[in-house]
Amino acid sequence: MLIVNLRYKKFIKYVGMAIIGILVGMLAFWLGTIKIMNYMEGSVRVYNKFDLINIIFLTDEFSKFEYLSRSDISLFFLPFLFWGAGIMIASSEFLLKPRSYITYVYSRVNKKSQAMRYIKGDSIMMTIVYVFSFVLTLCWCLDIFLPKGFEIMQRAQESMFFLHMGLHGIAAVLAVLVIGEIMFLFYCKRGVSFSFMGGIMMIVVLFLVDMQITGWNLILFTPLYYFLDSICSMLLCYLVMRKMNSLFGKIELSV
Amino acid sequence: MKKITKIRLNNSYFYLSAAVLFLALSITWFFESNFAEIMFFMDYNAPDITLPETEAKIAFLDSILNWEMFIDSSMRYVVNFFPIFAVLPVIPFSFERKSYFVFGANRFQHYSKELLKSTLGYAIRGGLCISIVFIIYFTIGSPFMIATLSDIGGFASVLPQGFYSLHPYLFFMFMASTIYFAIGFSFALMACGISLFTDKEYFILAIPLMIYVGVCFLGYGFDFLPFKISESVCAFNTMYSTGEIFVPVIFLILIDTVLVILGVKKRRNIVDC
Repeated sequence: MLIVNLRYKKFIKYVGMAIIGILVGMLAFWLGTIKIMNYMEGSVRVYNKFDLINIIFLTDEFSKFEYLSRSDISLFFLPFLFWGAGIMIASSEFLLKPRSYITYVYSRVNKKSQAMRYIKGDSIMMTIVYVFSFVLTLCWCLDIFLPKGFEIMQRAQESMFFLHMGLHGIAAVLAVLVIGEIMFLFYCKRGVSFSFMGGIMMIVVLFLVDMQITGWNLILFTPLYYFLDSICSMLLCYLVMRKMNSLFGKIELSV
Repeated sequence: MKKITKIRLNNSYFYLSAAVLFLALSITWFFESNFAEIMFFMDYNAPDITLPETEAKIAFLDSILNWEMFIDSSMRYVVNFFPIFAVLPVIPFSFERKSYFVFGANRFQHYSKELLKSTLGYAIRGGLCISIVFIIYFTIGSPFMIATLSDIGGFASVLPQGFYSLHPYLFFMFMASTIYFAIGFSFALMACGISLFTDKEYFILAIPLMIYVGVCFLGYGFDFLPFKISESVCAFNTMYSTGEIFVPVIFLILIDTVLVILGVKKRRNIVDC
């Protein structure tokens, strides 16, 4: 009976994450469409699905697209929405647990790593559900509510688009998990507020670094090597951060 | 001085928030205004640069060292999560609410009044945190910057004609001490109101951020002025006049007041039983 109850609770959690992903995806699609419509009136080029995705996830190649300019103050609004919601979801699993629960867990496990696993919960699965529901919502919205004047893509181009979205989704999951691990390290040492602040500053740092480097993609939507560069670097960071957390991450109960 | 006043003034979250805001502003400016590229990464032997290296460097620096570029490039990332710097100094209030206002409840003569007073104090400190950082930041920048535009936009409409091009530093001081203080105050008050209802720090940090982003979305989606909070955050680059810029902030403060009054009532009831 207890196990059934726990499974039910987990299912409810995943459904909640999926709903958040769908809502955020619809909001991003809505505002992205409004933004791109302003540029479409005076433009000669025919826009396609990639242009809207470029606005939502942001890309490196500012010279190629006229709707991306560095001086636009709302340039980072949509990317920050996606990443901010992502790290909030990834970190909610351990940031929402009360300190008394941690004492309780520590008193009942044999190994430190086991306690870590309990405290982190299933943030990995939650992140995957959130990111892929966001991505699928975008694909679905672009299929059904394709804005007027957008080019209808060929079959080969369409499958290329899905490939890009899927690979970027995997990279995004890994990037969110990396930031989540960094937040967990901060949480162990300094507490909730410090961790939250650190997570948000990590997004800024990643964006700043990614804007400076050309030819290597971290979290932006620049399909130079089909996002394999971001997947590799984020996977490496994730493994290193996990190892570091298992070595140094001991929660100080006094904080 | 009372001991609680000393503890409140020596608030480490205040210093953390101020330091992070200052660092975020200056690092963003360093990279986003092309300062780093001009100083370190640019190739001065390229065929399209005819001047010698030092002269070319000075010419490029002249083009980026102006007030508009300064404020615009340093706010580029910060504008997306601006409320968090006002909310962070309020976190000790939630600790106080859990200990000082529970265990010492029977020692106050007027419990609600005391709670409201400390709420207001924390909200003002949240506003000051943002305001002081911007004042320091502009003061450090002022010797190097000049104004290139004659009119910066709607926020200068209350000032005399041509005031901005004559005294850009005073204009930015005016901006930091009025609108930025008001935004910080409103979000800190909101965080106080939320902390009266919940025990979890996560919600105190996350809900103002969500409200900021969500309300901005609605404002731009439906083109409705009282919801455009980010228009007040970008007061240096706006079409609205000085009075209109304060509309979203006043709207926020009204909601916060209702939230705080309800929260204080709830606390009062819990203590009474």
